[in-house]
Amino acid sequence: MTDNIEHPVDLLAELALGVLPEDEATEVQAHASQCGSCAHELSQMQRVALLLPFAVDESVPEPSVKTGLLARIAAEPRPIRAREVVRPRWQWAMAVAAASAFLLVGGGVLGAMLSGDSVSNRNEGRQASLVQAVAQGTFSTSRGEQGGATVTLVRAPGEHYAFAWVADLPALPADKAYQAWFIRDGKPEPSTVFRSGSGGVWIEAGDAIERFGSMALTIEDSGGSKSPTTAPFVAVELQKSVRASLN
Amino acid sequence: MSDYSLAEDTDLVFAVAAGQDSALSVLYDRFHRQCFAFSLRILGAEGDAEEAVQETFVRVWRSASQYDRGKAGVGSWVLSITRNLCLDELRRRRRRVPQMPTMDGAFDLADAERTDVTAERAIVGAQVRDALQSLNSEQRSAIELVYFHGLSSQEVGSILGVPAPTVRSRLRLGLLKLSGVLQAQGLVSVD
Repeated sequence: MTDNIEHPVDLLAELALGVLPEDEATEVQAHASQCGSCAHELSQMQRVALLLPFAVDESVPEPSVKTGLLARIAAEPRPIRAREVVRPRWQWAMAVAAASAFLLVGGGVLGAMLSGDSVSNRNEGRQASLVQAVAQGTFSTSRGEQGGATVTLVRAPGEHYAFAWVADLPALPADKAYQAWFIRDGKPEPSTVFRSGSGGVWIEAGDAIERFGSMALTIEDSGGSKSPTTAPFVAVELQKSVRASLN
Repeated sequence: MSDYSLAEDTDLVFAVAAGQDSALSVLYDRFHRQCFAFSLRILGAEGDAEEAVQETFVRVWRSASQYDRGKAGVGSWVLSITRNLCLDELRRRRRRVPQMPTMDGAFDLADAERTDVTAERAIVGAQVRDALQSLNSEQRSAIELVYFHGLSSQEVGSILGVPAPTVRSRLRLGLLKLSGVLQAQGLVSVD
């Protein structure tokens, strides 16, 4: 940085307070991205701006606001759709087999929850269990989708894991991975980390899957996280899942 | 139905994004008072503020999956949605002359399941109000008119009878002073 550079310091406050016109805001942000002193000052101001709403005394709206809110969201299409999926039994048998091949050949699961036993041995056991459930008609499925990406869980009753078929998830940078979470009482519990945008993965919960409200996917650093660092972009509701029809 | 009453704020947003509507109800219970007061402060009419509150939480429900906790806490995120809605409304009906807001008054601690969270917000609110009081009236007026009413420096300058650069200077010095005061209180982290 030299003294010849003109710093837009007088515009930083308006940018931090969100009232700078878009074209000026873009210019100032571009400058701040290259200028340590302006970036520092802007950061200070933005942190203050985040606290300003708390300066207002709290007061209470009419109870009808909440009842109206709940009625509105009940009437709107869900932003994340979760629904039961009924597919012919043979399709899932093929998908399970494809997943095993995928895991053995592609090594798509990074293995946070699959460490210990060899992946192939454990997957063989899971595959057998799930194939048996498919054969007996006791398996169930749930699906979540958003933005074109879909995740379908196929599971045998009472098992800690499920087979997930993911489709059309975008490719990730090398330092990022998808991570599954099982959510119970609002608390996400970490599960499998994987990188593939399409195909089959084994997703494991630490308890019977039915005991969780939903499963969700986030994008994390490649090693996975103990708690989510980003909001889920797709979710699968588990509690409404029912035994699928085989017809 | 899951019991989210003791869940952390970020976990509630996560649950909403995962399709758990009951988590939205708890989020509402936690933030509706702040949201309503903030809307009322900007819009000036209870009916309008109540509409803003409801719309805020509908948008929280719709966009929970876009929440990035690295950028802002849940409360700040919710209130930023509120502010954008209110400023849009203000721009639509500029005919209403904004009243100068006041920063005085005590917190009304209403019933809440997470009393620790409510108490923490009350303390934060009191500290921010005190910090604002440490500014001179020119700086405070400039910040209030810009932040709570979405006015530009040019518009504030017209109201206060000073050039826009003067308003910008007051904003900058005021925010930096606030930053220093809030850093000393531990509310704003030091880089």
